[in-house]
Amino acid sequence: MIEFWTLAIAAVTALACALSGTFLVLKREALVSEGLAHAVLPGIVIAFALTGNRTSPLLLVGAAAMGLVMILAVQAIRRTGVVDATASLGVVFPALFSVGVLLTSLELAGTHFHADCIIEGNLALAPLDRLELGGRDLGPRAFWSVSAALLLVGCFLLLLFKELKLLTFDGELASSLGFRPGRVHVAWLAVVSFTVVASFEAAGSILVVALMIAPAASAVLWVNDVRHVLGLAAVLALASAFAGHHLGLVMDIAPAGPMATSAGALFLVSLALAPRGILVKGRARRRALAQLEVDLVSARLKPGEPRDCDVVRGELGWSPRRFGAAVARAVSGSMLVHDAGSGTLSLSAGQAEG
Amino acid sequence: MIQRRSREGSTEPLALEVEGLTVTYGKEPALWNADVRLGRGSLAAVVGPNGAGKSTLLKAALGVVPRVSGRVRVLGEDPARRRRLVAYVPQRTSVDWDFPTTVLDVVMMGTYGRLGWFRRPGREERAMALGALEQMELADLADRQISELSGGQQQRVFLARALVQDAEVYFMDEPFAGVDAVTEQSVASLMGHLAQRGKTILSVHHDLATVPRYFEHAVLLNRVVQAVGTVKEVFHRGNLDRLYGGRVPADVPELAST
Repeated sequence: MIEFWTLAIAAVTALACALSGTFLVLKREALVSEGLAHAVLPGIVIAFALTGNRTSPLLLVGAAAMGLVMILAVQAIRRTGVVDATASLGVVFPALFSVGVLLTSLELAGTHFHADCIIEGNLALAPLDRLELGGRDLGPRAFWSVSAALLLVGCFLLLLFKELKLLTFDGELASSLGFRPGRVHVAWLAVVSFTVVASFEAAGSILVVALMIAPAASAVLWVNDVRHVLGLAAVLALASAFAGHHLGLVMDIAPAGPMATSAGALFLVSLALAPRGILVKGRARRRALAQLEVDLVSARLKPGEPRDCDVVRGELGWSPRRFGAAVARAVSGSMLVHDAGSGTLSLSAGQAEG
Repeated sequence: MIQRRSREGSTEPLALEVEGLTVTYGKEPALWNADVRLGRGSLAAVVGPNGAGKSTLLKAALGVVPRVSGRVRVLGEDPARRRRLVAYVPQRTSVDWDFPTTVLDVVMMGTYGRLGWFRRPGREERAMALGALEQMELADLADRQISELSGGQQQRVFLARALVQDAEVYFMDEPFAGVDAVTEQSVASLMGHLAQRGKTILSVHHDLATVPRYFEHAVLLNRVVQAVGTVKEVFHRGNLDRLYGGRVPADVPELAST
């Protein structure tokens, strides 16, 4: 049963993270997830200090609010025009994180809130921390908090998918149509912030970034529509959760690390093999170059006028190897006729007519 | 002051009325005390050096930049209340063309204004977008990935998106920038058609040589509005030398002489 809950928490966390991370990737602000993951720490500690209760739902809300404070602070700093967006992110989030670390060592000494847990979460123990209501056991608390995040993300996407897509692609059009892209964006980031906090227990502050960014960054290499990117990111996230969980069992280690590793491995596979990946692109480029070489040789020939190979090669300034390969391709494509005896090239009959 | 086709006399509101508009982003005002009045059916170019506040003028007319002072009226109302009657064509380079979506989907974004919040585009919106693509001779590219478009095709996609809005007033930011001759022709003829149907166009334009060919009116802007009027009246060497500090290339043809 514990294994079931571990897997369920992992799957829901991965799903919520991937869906909320997709629009960060599309808006080219993936680093925001990293910022949030760090900035929510003081929120968690302060909320803990105020409630004196590590299990309070207020903890989630307080920490998410702290994440939003970071977003607004970054925007305010950027608006001054003195530093750019990434620099202001780089200033704000370590500052808040350091406050969090400071508070952790003051407030939480002696509790089970350790630095390790902050960095990579505590998925293995999460199923043991139960949510009880009126004496009834409703399952692990972490499951309910990530499910709440997934529900929030899902509702936001169902209601405001159109608006989110518009502001991500063309913020200027969005404002000219009255869709208030600034406010919708901040509302969305509040949802993302909540997701980061809810995933904290399962994934920790570093690994949550991998779960948010890797699935979407992989998906955009495969498919060409925002909906499909969301769908594929969800599938890849689930695959990472299952693979990571399985690896964790086999290797007898905490599952969060293998989950992030799986997400990263899927990204590497996508980067290599996907239609927008490097192999396909490289092959297309080589193919285009090969065709261009054939065209260049053909362009130096006139119908019915064979020319000496070495002269043509000299005009092109190519190495014998390159020239030979281009001629071989042209001959096999019956574009050119190569007379080995006289060492001449001519356009093939079909080409000459064309 | 441009008052064209105001057959009903003074009762018909101007397409655009900007009075004493000052906008600032930082130290120096981007626009200073600007007055621009455009009648309906105007086909106007905004001309001026870099940093003259041309895009800012458009954005103020859209009601999306905070104004320090002044008044903006579109068809007699505050821009915020005229969004359904206004179409905006941003600079082509202002968006990420690697965004995973199709030509048809981008054009359908032009229907989002009439859909309003929460509602999704349906069959009707799709048909409207296809019609606009047809008009811009892009119908066979409807399902194409936007990352595969040439610069000229990107610009025509943006114009198709504006057409879908079926607006009365069109604000365009450099629709001729970096497009080939064929696209330039189709953009120009589209503008002409729209103006003939009584639509108003205000377009930021950089190529001085083509202003007299493509536009009927000109707004000469360099933080302050230097002149507004028909191309014949205001687009002459004296004004342009003043506008560009005497650095107008001598070979700009078709300039009316002072």
